[in-house]
Amino acid sequence: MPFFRGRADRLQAFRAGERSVVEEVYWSYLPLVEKIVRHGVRQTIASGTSPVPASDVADAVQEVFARAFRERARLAYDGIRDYGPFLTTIARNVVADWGRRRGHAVVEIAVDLDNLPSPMGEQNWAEEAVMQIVERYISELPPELRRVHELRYTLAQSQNDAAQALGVSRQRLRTLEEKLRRGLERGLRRAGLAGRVK
Amino acid sequence: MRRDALDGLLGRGRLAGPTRDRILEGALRDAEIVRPRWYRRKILLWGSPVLACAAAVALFVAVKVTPDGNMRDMRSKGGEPGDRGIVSVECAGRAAGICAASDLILFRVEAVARDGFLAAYAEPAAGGERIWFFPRADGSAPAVRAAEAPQVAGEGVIARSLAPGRYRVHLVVSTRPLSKPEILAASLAASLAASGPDVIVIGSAPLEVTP
Repeated sequence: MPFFRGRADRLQAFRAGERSVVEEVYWSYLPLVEKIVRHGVRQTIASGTSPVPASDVADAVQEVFARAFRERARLAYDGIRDYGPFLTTIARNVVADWGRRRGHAVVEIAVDLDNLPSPMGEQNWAEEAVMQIVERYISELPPELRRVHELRYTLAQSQNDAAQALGVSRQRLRTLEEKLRRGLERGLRRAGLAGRVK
Repeated sequence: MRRDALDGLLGRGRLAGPTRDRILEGALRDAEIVRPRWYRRKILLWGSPVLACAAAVALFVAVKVTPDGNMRDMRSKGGEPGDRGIVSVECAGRAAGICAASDLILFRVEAVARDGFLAAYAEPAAGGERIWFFPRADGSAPAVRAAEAPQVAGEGVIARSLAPGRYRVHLVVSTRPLSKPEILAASLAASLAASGPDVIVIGSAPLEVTP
């Protein structure tokens, strides 16, 4: 992904820590980093290993980008090589350290990342009963909230992109998201499952 | 319930849009590309990975020197079965309840049965305006994880934010971020059971800030 190739202005802005360019880098390389994290660590359980929870994935992804965006790392990138391999090296190191600190099993990541499947959610992302409540809740959403869910939770769009697509302000979008969450929370409470969600 | 957990469910295990936004904000903050929200506040909060190290020292000292009476003062008073948490404030290397202006006030929580959020404020012993630490200006509050072991909130308060003098610091841990009126009601309740189902721990402790 030649993000900086032929774009000296973009490289200069990135190295200076200009937020808009740093954000572009984040959105461009997030799938790559998520893939490295999801494949790089496994949670140790009695019967072997299992994928780490989504909250752990989020923590590790944040740590990778935090490390990559620090001034020293930004200045260490020369702009000649592609940024992907540079970021991959940082990500592998961070994920290995992070996984060991958490007591997770650290998995050797294939050199050819293209052969790894895309980062998708896990098949069993919650207890069966919880998943049923969530699926039922989503299937019964009114049109406006259904669209919010599709953009923000299925397509995982940024707040800016989703607000633009919906034609609403970011504040309005935040309100709708909160409504989505509270609705699900009520459903889980009614089913007596709220305490089983971590 | 925590926003992260609900977003995780709504995203069916994927990193949902709101989660991705939060990761970005966190990474920009950690990389010091943007300043944390607390930077603009009068009360100076401080939080970083280094805090964990400072906290470890503080815990060691506090456990050794905190008189039993103080610990009883801070223990929760009832509530749901399993809610028996302890909250306290301390400064690394100091006797319990004493902080110098140059210190970082740490908020310690232990034996918390449920995930929650920390609220804290100080009242000058001599009377005067209440000083809020958490929730922050935007209503958010530090997260506390369910754990038996002692843990320290990810943000501390720089003691020089407070004028030298004696205070009583009130702390509330709840399963959702509470509004200030709710926090006040909880901290003044006669017992944890009377403070509402969302409240996990309540406590207060004396604090003296020296010049």
